[in-house]
Amino acid sequence: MSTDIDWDALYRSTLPDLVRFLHRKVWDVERARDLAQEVFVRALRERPDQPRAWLFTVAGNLARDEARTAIRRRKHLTLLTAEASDRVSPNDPDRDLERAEKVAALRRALETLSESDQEVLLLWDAGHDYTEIAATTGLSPGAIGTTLARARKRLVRAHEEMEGKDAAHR
Amino acid sequence: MQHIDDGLLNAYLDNALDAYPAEDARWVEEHLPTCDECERRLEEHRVVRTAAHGLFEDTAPSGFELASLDDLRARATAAEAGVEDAPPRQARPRSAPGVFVQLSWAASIIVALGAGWVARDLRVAARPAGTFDQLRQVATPQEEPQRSLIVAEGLSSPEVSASALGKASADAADVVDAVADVGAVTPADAGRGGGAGAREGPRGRFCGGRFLWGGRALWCVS
Repeated sequence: MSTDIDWDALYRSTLPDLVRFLHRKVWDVERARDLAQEVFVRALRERPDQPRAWLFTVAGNLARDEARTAIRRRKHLTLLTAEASDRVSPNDPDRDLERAEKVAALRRALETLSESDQEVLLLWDAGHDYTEIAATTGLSPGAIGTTLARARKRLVRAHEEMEGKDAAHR
Repeated sequence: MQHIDDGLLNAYLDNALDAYPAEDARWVEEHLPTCDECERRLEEHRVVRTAAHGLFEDTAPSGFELASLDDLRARATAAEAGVEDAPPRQARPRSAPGVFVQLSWAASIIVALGAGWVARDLRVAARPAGTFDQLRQVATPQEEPQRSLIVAEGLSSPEVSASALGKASADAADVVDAVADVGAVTPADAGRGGGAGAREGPRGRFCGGRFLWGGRALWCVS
């Protein structure tokens, strides 16, 4: 248990990244925010020695639990997503629709990657350095660059292919 | 000529060479300016990295509000103390219509039981009589005689119709009306209808686990 951590600074610097990370897993902004806050509440109780790695590890586990119940809640999540979009910009439905399409395309592209590649990519997107990614995923630091190189290439290629298919259907 | 692998090129782009052995980082820094092939590949990886970053940036969540750290601290403290987040449920006052409905049900049940009581007396009084032995024969196969409810209308009379008893054994309702535990109630008991320890009401009384009504043993429960 650690006692000399600046939790205020950690909260300000990490929570937005945590929401961003969780959003790519549960695909609902409000749910991602709630989960991120829940993870932080747990961290305040547990006081881990390496809180940033701990936060993202626990967040990943919570997101996995969410995924297990996703089928039951799929309809509910859809409704929540619609509600969240309304709250963000109620006066700009075109922008919301465009954003929803981009989110859906990214989600489909991410789902073509292995779970390990997804995890490394999302941690990189959440601002982790290689050492932190290695600590969270259990990979060696030397393997992170190789994994990222592969994951980025596959993601961009899958996204381009889906864009091409969508354009052909229009 | 040896070239830089994809992992190191991406580490270079991510400014993460410090995660690798120092000699690897030094070699990348020295080799890149001298190798066109590695420079070309580095640009390819840079384009892919920028594209991936753009996909994430375009879909980054925004517009959400976060709780203050003090709020989260309060939640953590409450969780440690075992206090639920949800406010405690308060008992709702019972509404007058709800009480009325419950009283109506109670009244209906009382009326139904009373009507059933009267109808049963009339039915039993109209039944032909049989012998007490025939009555015992019907009742003996019952596995739990002590739990049965009995009416010993025919017990004071030695004549009970055997056909009526057969019908009674087949019909569960009639079994209740006939006899389940004749062994617990003898004609002599029914005839006496009392003895030591008997409690008497206006017409009925309890005696030895039996309720006697107008000199007849109506039921026996033990």
